[in-house]
Amino acid sequence: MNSKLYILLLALFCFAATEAYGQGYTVSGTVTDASTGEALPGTTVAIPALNRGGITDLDGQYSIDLPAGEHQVVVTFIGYQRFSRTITITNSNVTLDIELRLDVVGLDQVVVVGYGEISRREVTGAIASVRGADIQFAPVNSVENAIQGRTAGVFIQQNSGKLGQGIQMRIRGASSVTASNQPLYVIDGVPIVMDNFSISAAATNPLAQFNFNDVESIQVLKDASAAAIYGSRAANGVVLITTRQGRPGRTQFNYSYQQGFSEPTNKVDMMNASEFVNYMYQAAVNGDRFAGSSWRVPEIEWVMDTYSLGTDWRRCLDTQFGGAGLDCPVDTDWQSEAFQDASMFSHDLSASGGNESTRFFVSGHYGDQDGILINDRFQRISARMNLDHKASERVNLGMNLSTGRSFHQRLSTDNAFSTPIQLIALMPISPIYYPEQGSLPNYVPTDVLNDDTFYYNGLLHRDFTKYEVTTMRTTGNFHLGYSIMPDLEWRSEFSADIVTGKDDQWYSPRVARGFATAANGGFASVAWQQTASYTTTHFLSYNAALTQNSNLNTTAGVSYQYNDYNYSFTSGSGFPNDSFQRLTSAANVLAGSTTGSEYSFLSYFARGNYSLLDRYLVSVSGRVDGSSRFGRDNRYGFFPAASVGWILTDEGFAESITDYLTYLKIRTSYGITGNAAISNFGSLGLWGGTSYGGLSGTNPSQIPNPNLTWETTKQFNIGFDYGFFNNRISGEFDYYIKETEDLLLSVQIPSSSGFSTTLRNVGNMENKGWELVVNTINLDGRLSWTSNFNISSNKNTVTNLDGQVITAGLAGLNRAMEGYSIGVFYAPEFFGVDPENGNALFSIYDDEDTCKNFVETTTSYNAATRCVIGNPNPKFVGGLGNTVRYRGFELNVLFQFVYGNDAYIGGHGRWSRGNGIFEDNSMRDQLNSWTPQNTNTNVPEARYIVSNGNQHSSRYISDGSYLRLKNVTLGYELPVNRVRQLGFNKVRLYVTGVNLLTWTNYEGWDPEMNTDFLAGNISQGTDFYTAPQSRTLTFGIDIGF
Amino acid sequence: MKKTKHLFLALILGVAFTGCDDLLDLEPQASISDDIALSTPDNVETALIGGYAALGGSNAYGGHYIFLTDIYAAPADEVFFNGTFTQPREINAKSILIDNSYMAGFWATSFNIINRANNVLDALDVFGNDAARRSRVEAEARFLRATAYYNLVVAYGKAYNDGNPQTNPGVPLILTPTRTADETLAVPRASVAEIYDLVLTDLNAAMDNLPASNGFLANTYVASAMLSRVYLSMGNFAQAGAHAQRVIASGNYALFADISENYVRTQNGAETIFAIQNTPTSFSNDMAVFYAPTFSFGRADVQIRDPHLANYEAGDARATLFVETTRGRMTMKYASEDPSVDPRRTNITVLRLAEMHLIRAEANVRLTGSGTPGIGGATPEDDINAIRARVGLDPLATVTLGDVLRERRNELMFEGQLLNDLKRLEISTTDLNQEVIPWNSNRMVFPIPEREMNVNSSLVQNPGYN
Repeated sequence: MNSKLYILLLALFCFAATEAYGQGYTVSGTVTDASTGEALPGTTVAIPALNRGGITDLDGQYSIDLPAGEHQVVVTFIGYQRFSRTITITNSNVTLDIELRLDVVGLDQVVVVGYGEISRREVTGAIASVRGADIQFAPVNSVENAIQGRTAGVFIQQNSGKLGQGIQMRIRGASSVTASNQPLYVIDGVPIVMDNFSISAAATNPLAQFNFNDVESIQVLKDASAAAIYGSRAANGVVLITTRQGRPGRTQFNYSYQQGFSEPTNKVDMMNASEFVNYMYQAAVNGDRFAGSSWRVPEIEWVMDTYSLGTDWRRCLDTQFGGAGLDCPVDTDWQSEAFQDASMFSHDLSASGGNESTRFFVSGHYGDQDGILINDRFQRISARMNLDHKASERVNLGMNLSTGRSFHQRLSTDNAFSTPIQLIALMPISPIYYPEQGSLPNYVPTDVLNDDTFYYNGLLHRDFTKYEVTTMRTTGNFHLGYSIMPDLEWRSEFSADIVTGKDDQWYSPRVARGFATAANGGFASVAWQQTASYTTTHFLSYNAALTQNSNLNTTAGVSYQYNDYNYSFTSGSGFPNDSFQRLTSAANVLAGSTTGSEYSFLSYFARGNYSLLDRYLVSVSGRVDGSSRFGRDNRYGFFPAASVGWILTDEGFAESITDYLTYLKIRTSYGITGNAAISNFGSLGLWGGTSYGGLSGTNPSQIPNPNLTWETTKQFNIGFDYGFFNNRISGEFDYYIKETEDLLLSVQIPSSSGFSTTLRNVGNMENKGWELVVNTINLDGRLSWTSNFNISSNKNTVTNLDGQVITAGLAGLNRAMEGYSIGVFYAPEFFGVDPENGNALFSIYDDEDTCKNFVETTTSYNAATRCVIGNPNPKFVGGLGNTVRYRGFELNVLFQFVYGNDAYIGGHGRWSRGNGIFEDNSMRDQLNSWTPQNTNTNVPEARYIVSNGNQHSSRYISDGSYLRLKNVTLGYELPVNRVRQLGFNKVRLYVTGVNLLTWTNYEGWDPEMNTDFLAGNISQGTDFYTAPQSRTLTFGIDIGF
Repeated sequence: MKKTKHLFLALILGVAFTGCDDLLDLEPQASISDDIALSTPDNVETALIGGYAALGGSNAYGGHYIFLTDIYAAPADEVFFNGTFTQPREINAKSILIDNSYMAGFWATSFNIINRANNVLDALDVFGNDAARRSRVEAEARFLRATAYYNLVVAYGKAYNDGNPQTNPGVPLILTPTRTADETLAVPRASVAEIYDLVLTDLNAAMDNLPASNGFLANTYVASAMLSRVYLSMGNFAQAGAHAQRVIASGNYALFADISENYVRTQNGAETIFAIQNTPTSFSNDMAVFYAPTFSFGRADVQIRDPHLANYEAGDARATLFVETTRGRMTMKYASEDPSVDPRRTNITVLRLAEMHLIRAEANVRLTGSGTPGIGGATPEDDINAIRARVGLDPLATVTLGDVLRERRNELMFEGQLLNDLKRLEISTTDLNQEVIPWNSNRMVFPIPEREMNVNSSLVQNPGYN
């Protein structure tokens, strides 16, 4: 077959003509920015027909030798509209000065697609693009943060304000219940290892080592037509990242520095000591009255005596309870102790340049950022070298190499008492430090942290633990191209992506209450992990004009990826003192283990793009994928896709309307993609190792399923690209239906089998939605103002789970249930408070399946009907970006919004709004609880150690919608002539704010959250002492020379 | 070598453009497949150890079997769970929500033990002609299975003496290993009597085929002691006494001189019949986690309140097995004053000789009465006074049933016997609100976990939880 293809391509080649040309004249001129009039150095000026061209110099000037005749001059520069004009050279040199207009639409930009690139005009699939320049130097932690709100159809949510944590990214909704829903990331052709190396329950972000200041462009492949060339891993979409490349010309240096600080976006309102004491005392009185008991009041007095450490809490007890009714001697604001003053800075230095045969880009980055939470810190250092060399007319080669290291001081998961936010649960009458004994019952602090708080005092973790994660990633790609014939090119790529992580932890015996294993002389552990992924890809590309009016562009190749993972872990206890933190000093080695795993993919792919008359576009692609992960009998899958496009406005009949409808392309696609993101040996029946009393044992760990195969997603997409009034208003609209079948489902089975789940291909899920992008040029000229608006809506429905219900999340509240969106919250409905007696009421419905036909209320939690009480999936997400330029000033303002999602406040919601049943400090809004005088309230009566509405219910659902001023950057670029005198090309000063303002009704810290220890496909939208996002302000300078 | 090959192929492949299907043949490194796991006699014995490992897990004897049932049965004014975890809090309050994850873990791990045992029992043919080894392995597996079933039926079924055990639902009866996941896994609940029948059959077979000594693993006397406990639950005092007698008469065991020697042990001692073996590196001991005071690495979550101390006579050494702390009074049965001892890494006694004396005494006082030699030629006074003597109490001239039961309660408190004793003896308890909960209240039976109800439509929920 391959030799046939070769002959076919050879035959096609015979139609292509080569043309000799003579020299004689020049075309020359200056390229400037149409709005500012500034010269544009580095612009590409090309004569495509002759395959020659040049680059403008520092003054924006170019000159090209040409023979006499008609020539099409094409000028392209990133961020500007393509310029094209036909000139005629008769018998003299020609001067052509060119003004480039800012390109809001990106119609003429080259779009990187899998194994190739095409012009946006020819795209027939759904692809969203982000320019690297738009996100450069954004003071955020990773590339996903930086593109939040900038791409239609992409929902990005950071788990919390902790640095370096996992991020959820959903392209057109979740397509799987059990397998990963994260997209495939490909950086410069290398499929990126996305292993999460965290050994705690909270995931870390595998892209955190990547320096996104190097990004040239990001393409998000959303529909099957765009993504199917990545076959069995494309069902969640593909994110293609291309890094910057040098341009011929003088070497350009760029140095950038920024510095700033962060603070939490929000704090919650907790009771002070006096409020707490009286609220709890009243709760004990109420509890005794309700239960007919008499021990609760003495119990709460004993609790207060114990945890106030002998300071006189009765001083602030109301006189009605026998107290003094004065101020408390101790009034600790524990919440403020969870946060720190956070500063950050970064340095970036890059150089790029080259000549006609060799181009390069090198960069280095160093950044150091404190988190808003105590002890949270993230440092990144990285370097990159991109090199392209044309060895001869036929041979080109190059290399992209990046290496990075991140150092991360991590925090405990949200579920640990030691995580800073859980400090809010501590009683405000508990002092931070032990009191001087002599001064009791007044409080004079010592310098010893109080370890006799009701819950563990997480401040001890700040001072007496170490949790350091160092990750190193090296990604390299070597490519070699050979031009067999002018239109036929062979390209081979060899790449490696090697990630090594060290997780180094130490706990002093001082923290034994928060980390029990440390009790015996301290505890330390170290885990080393490495994933090495090797990929080799070879493909042939044939691009040629078949006839004068038609073009065929084909690619076919093969790819093999092998991934090898290794893990080792050692832990020990018994250290002489806190100065010894390495295992060599441990008296007892507690555990030592190593393990590893592998997988491989073998793939064949092909794609053909055909265009007729530049306006009828057809694209067909397919991939055959084989994976080691699946059962022997179901190893290979075929993933085809096809799409067509029609540019109506290029038709003769449309000429009359092109004055206002400048551009209209209709496109549609259909195709199949897969998801293979499950454990490496999911199809086998497995036994794992265990031990008992020093004897080794084995136990069954997985039920076999030899029929296991990938899940498939069939996606239909229809859309159009439009431009009105000479593209002053432009954009695109897409509608899609994604049907996922043969879900790779972790099916719950009766645990009387000895197993709780098994992996099967069962079930269906559907995502339907639309995306709208509107780009406008509001003002053009010296003062320019452009806007980009995107909004998308996705409706996810689990259509078939073979009759079962899958629970996840906090107390199993999140569910995958047939007929509902994935992750809906399921619990009794809180009806409110009985005004007669302050009892919390739940609803009973006649129809238990749909929760319709209300029957009555009940105080019995077990008797209440379980209902769908919320949906964590947003109805709409989007963003609005504005750019205003005037002279050297540029103002960027990006709003981002999420609308229509419910959140569940399961942490402080339930524990600090729990009718005083627990000894936790409560939120101030609980002061509005029911009393005989305050009957019109929905806060149940406070009752110590009596459940009264503290159970999981719709009471703790909160609206998670928000609108956020995501990014504001005001920059000023000094005039070029003044900068020149100083010896620079460019000097830009800027100030950037991130998350400056948030508008929301959410009752927790920040609606952008998903608690880290539970976050998953089903477990979404749960707040469990989840840290707020940070609000950051930075100042920067960017110098080119 | 294999990795090098893959790496090499990764680099050169494609030049040939040929299919390389074997590149997709990879084997797991940390697990073995079904067919290997049970393929040789040694491998089957290793799988048997896996069963013991599950029995020692924190959802079984490493915690829930003992800790949860005790805080459940104990009157809340004596034993008060004051910790922050809601699951044990609900259980101590005797108001269990059907989604209580501890209670669900009790169920799942018990069946995990049963499935591990069933895997071993299904693979006995690999022993071929080695009949001795085969019968010992079989007997150990049946001991594990019976022990898990006994604990399940006590927690999730009505007591044997409560109504008709032939019709009261117990738990699903499963005697074959799970090899495929299909609809046959939805097994309904067998009756309480059917579960007890299996437990007796398995334990009798275990007793007949186990050796007299088997290291810290189950031996024939361990099976007898467990049988004795099971018969006692069923009210069959003759059999309970006979099996206790068999253990006592073996002469292999002796009471410690000091009762406190039973606790925080790192290896079996003279009084130990069967104990879960924890090691410094591999351990589960939720009793130490929850009961122990903070100075002994515990959470100090369970306060032992004054009314409990009223159960003890003056001078009873067992009344000194407590410590007063700032977080209330704690039991020291799972704690140590010695800061170099981490009680979480110590063994958990499941069966000890004192219990056998107490069972023999109870059988004799019921069957032949005070002052009369009964089973084993011992009088109730012989057994009870031996227990009393070592805790510093004067001997009783005449031992009544009440004396036996009080001695039993004080001796075995916090050792996992209270729930079964309350039910078989028809004694009520009290909840947090000082409400009296009768022994046969619906609230004194665990609910079937909500998760199991959701995935197995053949199950029927216990009354009071719908």
